[in-house]
Amino acid sequence: MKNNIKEIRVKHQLTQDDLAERLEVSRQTIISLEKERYNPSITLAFKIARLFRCQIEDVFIYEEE
Amino acid sequence: MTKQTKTNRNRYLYLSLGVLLTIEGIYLNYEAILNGDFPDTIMLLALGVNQLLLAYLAPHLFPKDERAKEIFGKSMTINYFVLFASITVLILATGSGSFGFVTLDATQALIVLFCIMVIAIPGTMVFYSKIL
Repeated sequence: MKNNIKEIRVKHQLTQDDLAERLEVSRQTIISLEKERYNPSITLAFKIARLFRCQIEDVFIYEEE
Repeated sequence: MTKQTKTNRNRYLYLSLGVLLTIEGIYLNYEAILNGDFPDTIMLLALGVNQLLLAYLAPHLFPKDERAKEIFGKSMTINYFVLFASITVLILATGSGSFGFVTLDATQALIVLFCIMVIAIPGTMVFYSKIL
């Protein structure tokens, strides 16, 4: 699944460490998410969307496999 | 103490223990290995490698988030099969049939199993931390 986490994070002037701390995950998880290696759970996806005050669809782009 | 500091502290602890145990393990085992004998203290070396792998894994695993749990879960599934495979190979290798080529006593067989598990568990976690 593609995502815009990196672009949105940079726009909000957050570092990977800041984002990790606010989402209560490791920085490695943020790196994996940004590299699109890891698909987050629905809970984490909601947390990310709420933190950036946008819809899940604005952050994650679902693609048919 | 912040989570990051705690992770780094864990990492340095694992790293220093790993270096210490690996050096000690090599020093205590190299003579037996060179002479072709069973290295009785090979567990020290395996534990050293285990600590070094955990030092690499610390930032991936210690804030125990959902990715860390997935890494744990997947590596445990693989290790279930690794354990069965190791036992099968040990049975064949130490058996009296045509495959039997080594003679190990019970303690030595347990040492070999211990070493395999101690390295395979964090080893598969390293693999999954790379692909997840």
